[in-house]
Amino acid sequence: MAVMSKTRKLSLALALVSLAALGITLVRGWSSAVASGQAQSLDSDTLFFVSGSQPAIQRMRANDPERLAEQAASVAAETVQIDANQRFGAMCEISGMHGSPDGRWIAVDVNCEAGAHTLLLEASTGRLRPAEPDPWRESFFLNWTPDGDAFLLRVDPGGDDLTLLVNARSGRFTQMDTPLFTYDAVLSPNLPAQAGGERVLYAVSRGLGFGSEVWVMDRSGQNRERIIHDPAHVIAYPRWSPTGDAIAYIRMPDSNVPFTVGELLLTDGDGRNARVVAQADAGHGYPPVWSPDGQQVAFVVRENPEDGAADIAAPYLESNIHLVEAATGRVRAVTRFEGALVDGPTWSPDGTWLAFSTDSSDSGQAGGVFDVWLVEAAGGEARRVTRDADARWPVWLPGERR
Amino acid sequence: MRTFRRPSTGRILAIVAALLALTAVGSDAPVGASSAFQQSTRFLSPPYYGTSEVTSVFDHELPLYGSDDGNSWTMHYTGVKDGAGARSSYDQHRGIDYWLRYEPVRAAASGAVAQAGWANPADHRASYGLHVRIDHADGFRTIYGHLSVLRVQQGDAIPFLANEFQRIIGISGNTGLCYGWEGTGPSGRCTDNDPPSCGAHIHFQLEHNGRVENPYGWVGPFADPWAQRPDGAVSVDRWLSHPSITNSDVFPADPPLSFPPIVLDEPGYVAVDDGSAGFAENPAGCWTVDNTTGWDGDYRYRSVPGGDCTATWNFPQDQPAGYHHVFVHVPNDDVALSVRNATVDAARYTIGHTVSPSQPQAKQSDVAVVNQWAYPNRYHTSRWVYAGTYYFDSNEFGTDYVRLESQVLDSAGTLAADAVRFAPAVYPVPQQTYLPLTMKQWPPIPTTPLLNPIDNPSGGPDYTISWSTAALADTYTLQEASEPSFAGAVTRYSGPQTWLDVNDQPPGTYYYRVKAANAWAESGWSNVQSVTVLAPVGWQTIAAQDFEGASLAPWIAWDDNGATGGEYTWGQRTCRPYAGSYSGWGVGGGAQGAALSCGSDYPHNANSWMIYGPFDLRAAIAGDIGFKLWLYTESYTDPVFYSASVNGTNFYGYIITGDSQGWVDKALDLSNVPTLGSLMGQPQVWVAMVFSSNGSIAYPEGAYVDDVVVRRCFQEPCSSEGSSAVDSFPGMWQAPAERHLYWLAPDSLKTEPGP
Repeated sequence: MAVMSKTRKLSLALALVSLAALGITLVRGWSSAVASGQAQSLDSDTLFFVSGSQPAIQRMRANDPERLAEQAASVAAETVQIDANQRFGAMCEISGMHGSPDGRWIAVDVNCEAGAHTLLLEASTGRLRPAEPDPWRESFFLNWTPDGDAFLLRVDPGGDDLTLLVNARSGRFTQMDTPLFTYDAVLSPNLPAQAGGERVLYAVSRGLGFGSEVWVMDRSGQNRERIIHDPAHVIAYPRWSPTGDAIAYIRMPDSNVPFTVGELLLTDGDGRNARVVAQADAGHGYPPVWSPDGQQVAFVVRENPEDGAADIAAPYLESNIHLVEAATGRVRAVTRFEGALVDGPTWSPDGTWLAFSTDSSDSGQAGGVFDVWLVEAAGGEARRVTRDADARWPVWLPGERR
Repeated sequence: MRTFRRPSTGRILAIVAALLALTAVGSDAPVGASSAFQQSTRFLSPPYYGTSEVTSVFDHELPLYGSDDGNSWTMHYTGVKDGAGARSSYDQHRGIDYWLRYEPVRAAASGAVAQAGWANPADHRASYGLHVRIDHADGFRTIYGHLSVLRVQQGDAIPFLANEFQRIIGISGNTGLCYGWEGTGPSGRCTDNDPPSCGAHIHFQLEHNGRVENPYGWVGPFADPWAQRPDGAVSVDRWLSHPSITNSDVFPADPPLSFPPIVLDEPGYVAVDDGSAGFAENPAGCWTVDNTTGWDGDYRYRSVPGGDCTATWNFPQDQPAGYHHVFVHVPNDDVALSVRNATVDAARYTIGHTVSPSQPQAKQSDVAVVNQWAYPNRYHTSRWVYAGTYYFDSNEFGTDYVRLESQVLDSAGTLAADAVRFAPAVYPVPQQTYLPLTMKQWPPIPTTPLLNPIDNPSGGPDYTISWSTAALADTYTLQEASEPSFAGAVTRYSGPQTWLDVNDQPPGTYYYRVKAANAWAESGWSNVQSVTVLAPVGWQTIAAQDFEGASLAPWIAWDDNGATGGEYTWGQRTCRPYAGSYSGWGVGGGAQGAALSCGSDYPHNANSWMIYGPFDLRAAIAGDIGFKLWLYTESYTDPVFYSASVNGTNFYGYIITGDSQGWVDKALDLSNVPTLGSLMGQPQVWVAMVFSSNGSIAYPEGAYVDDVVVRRCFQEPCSSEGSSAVDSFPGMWQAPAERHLYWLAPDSLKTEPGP
């Protein structure tokens, strides 16, 4: 039964974006940024997140997470204001951010009532622009390339349904040789030569009731091999570890129930030897997140699987973040909120901390607005970074010193 | 690999096809029937039944995303900007939103289903959510967004001249990114103070050759701005019949579609139960009545195939004529899937009905196939299953009915005949609907259980294995293996529990995995957990028996020739203890043995067994059974037999007779058993102590044993003491069958007769 008395506010509503407004504010940038015209690395580790009822992307230096947490809510942040208009007409929201491995870019998911788009934020300057080669086309961001120079984008889903490899700096793109109904794709890390060099992993589903398949191929489209065929499940977010020797993914029922409980699986780097390691939230779009050293995977676990309301309404989710050690399969919780929605885990560049967002208050009660928190991956108390900021989707980018 | 046990996949597909082919005869001619000739102008009919309300109009001033005009207003198709009130919209809206709460959505024209599923299969919050795209002739495509249930799959056809039942593509809802106007948040936004169903509507979108257009066209006094956009097109009124809307000042509206879809518990329904006045069975008594469950407490059933038996539910003559939705009751309680009363997966209901109100004398029949076995289930929790909508007349001559016919079934199982409900088709359409959509989720595959880490920090031989409960699971199978590849794995548990206590496990590393199952399918194997049992140093006692306890357990004692000649078994007696107060007398137990006084002669024809086992010697390097023996018997004929077995029936060991001259140590080295050789490595071993006498001379007392110890050793030191063979002969006995004695040596004793 739904917990109807819960006063958690629908942060989605507060994070509305006017794409029209985005159109005229995309080049505002950080106040301190030097407009060099080229993407540069940051000079320090930096934490980014989306905040505010008129959404803005904020950044703060985050070389010293301990200090960042101690000075919760008082650390100076820079802002790129997304000039959301005051009207409640635009049915869009920012629904995720994805930092590039080289720390130079952030892809921003813009989810709309009738379509989806992707923005590209230049981390050093704060410049924001559409990521699609044709900005009127819908798109879903898929993944960054391992070097961070380019990203994979699903363009025109349901129409031409293309998978494009887009250069972040120039916007030039090439079309990947993926079939119709490809809903996810990722490029392999620099695998050892004996593993066949650079490979592309992609997931395909013809729709509800058909399950899904996962294939790997050369970047040229040659040497295709189907590594998973699951007629009853959707394979969500297959992700290679940074070393390429393992793949993590969420296996979720192929169902018309929007939000369910799935399973986190790990396989060898070639997709074989799949083993279930934990139950994981499914349907909300939370991918497994590898630690920088490829030893651990952070993922979101649903804490209220018995709540039918949470099966059909995303805000009713109660969750926590867990970690699994890839080598042993040992799972442990790193956050222990009760009745709160916890999501968006992102690793610090050195892999010792996790940033995430939750609507839990200081007293542990759900129902507040979302804020960004930190927790040591080794364990310990979660610490607040923002306060009543309606802040979500943290991204932690490495600075030049790394 | 999953195993779908029943029905076969082919059968499932056939059932799905049959369900989708269900005919709701009685509707008017298809509304908005389209043709290729019409498609270039007007070809759309309403995407829903009844009357709705437009909550967001098409925005003709849609700015080019991310670049140019930056406006935040909307432009109605009249050219008026910033619509308010009745012309509500939102910036960049590329379709029409109709307020439709969990009601059937129909294809606006014939075509082929190009896509039916989630906008993003991995992220169900995204965009249109669960949606359908249909390709029509001449490059047109319609999109139906935010549905909650799909009734079509990619590749399905919406036939030209499809009847209304074939037109329904799903149920509206609020999936994907979906805001509603009835919420309690700002400007009617849904918050979690609102029901999770808040915001349900359909987003209806029309595309022509990949460019979006307003299906209502453009009537503004200047050129349509939208038509100039890269993804825009000239908008033309494409409606053959405009959808009925209450805010008809926004768009033209036509009368609502008059054929309502399926509804639940609408006023005026009447149920005809089996056994009631409106029910008839033919021949009489061909159904078995079950009064334990079913609608109104009973139902009928029979096994099929076989027999020629019908059940008929007549349309009540006192019910006003009209269109009625027909529901059949499936008497499966909300119990485990494997325990169902109705198991036929293709029950054929024949519906005799009137063709139309204008032809009251014209009758026809249709068939609805219902998978009784599938209902209820997690997606269709009601036992009432929709079987179509038909026009029923007064039924004066018994022409309007629902009939279940056993002889035309092509499936096997238990066929149930329970109640039938006739529900008048009325407006307005309630929120809930019945549709045979369940097959999308069939068979119900259990989720994979999660095996918990095994806690055994000391490396001891006892630990507990546990796993999570799996949804839809009835039973679990736990495998154990000594290799991570699970080569040579054995099933350690099969049943409904979610744990297993493992005891006395030999040293080694063990790997476990578990899977769930129900009557139809199995899950995949779970994650693997391992546990290591460390090898203890020196001898480990497996079982000891000093006869000082209240019983011989866990040893089992019996007289192998029963009560013949009296019942004499091993018994705890004080007559001649080696240590403590008791020892085991070979004939001192049992009905007659317990009555023997100390010092009595042992009886003739005794056959007294005492067995312990099985125990595990897989990782052992040594093992033995040692004991104290006091023996005074007739030489060669009245022996004590101490032995071991690897199957619990054939025991091999040593036979000793005669006078031991008091208490002596005896032992059987389990690494050197007669005939069997070493038992090290055996997973199951039994040991036995037998006292036997023939029918001739009997001596006083016979045999006592005391301080019996069964041991094994996994790690040195484990040197053995004592000797087995001294004064003994090897032999083999069988137990617990009738006494058989096969002397292996000496040969002279092989002639010893059995009982």
